[in-house]
Amino acid sequence: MIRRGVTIIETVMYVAVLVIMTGILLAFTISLMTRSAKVRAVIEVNQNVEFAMEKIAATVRNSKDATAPADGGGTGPILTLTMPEAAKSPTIFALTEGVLTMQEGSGPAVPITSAGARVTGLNFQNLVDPVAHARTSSSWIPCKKEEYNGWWFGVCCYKGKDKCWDVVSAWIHVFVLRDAKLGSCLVATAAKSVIRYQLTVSAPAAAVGAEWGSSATFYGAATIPRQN
Amino acid sequence: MIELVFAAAVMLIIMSSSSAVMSVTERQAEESSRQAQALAIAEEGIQASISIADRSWTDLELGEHGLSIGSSPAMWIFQGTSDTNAGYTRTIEVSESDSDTKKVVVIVTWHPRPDRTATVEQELLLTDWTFI
Repeated sequence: MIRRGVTIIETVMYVAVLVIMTGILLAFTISLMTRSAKVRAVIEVNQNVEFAMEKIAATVRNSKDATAPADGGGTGPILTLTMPEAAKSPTIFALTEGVLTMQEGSGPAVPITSAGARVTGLNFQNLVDPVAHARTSSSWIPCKKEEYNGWWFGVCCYKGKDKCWDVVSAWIHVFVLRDAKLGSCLVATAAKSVIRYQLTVSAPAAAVGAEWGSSATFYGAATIPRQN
Repeated sequence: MIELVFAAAVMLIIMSSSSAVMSVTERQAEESSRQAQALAIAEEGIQASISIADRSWTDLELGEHGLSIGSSPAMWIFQGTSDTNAGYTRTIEVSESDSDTKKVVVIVTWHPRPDRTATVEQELLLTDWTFI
């Protein structure tokens, strides 16, 4: 039996096709790896921003006062909050070499963003305290007072109805409180300061393409509740 | 030779499919980032509406509004029918729910592509407690 061999031309053709296919495969793999890195970078930036924004908002809502920026519209890259717990006061948010940090009391400045998200801009604005409305209510009357955990709470009840309102939560923006001296109930707004903040972040290197942009700015706002 | 062509064709199909999946994933990651920005802008609108209502119930006017920060004093005010920032347009719609309650809906829109509009909404009910 005569076995047909492979000619030189056929060999050259096979090698050429193999080289071309290898080149295409290599280019595709590099492209896939680059795009995968980009997706990971975007996800990491999103996670960092979400955490940082929530952290700032939650800390502002749990604070008593903001000393920096100044009241009445002051702006600046540092937020200084007075907290109810002395050990955590002041709590300071600042930007250090592309990392957002949080310092509680005399403790160290702890980073709250990772190296995966470079913070390129941070700004806080302390907007004017809303005018507090406080007037003696004729509908709400003092009912009782209770002590809990060292705090005194006055309870006002709606005249003729079973509705009562405790001065407890700092989350509600309007509450009814009992005036200890006058023995009456006042209706008051609870908002004190509104802190507006903006965070500009970018991926650390050229991991993201031009269509996403070199950076993105996120805005947020939170209210420091009125203190009893 | 035929086997080689067939193998090359299969490889190309696999690569094309993988590339398409990767493109979708990429687009979704970018879109989630834009949506997070839009949600943050909407939440700011909610906080601003609460601040305006706390200042004066009558300042929370019915209708469509944009937001601005007054210079003296520096506080949130309604201005125009919408405001735009970095490609995001925010509209605050205030409507009456009952005599002492107003419904605030903050709508943020943006264009991820020229032929497409994306929207996020947040809503809130505010009560005028000063009349109780």
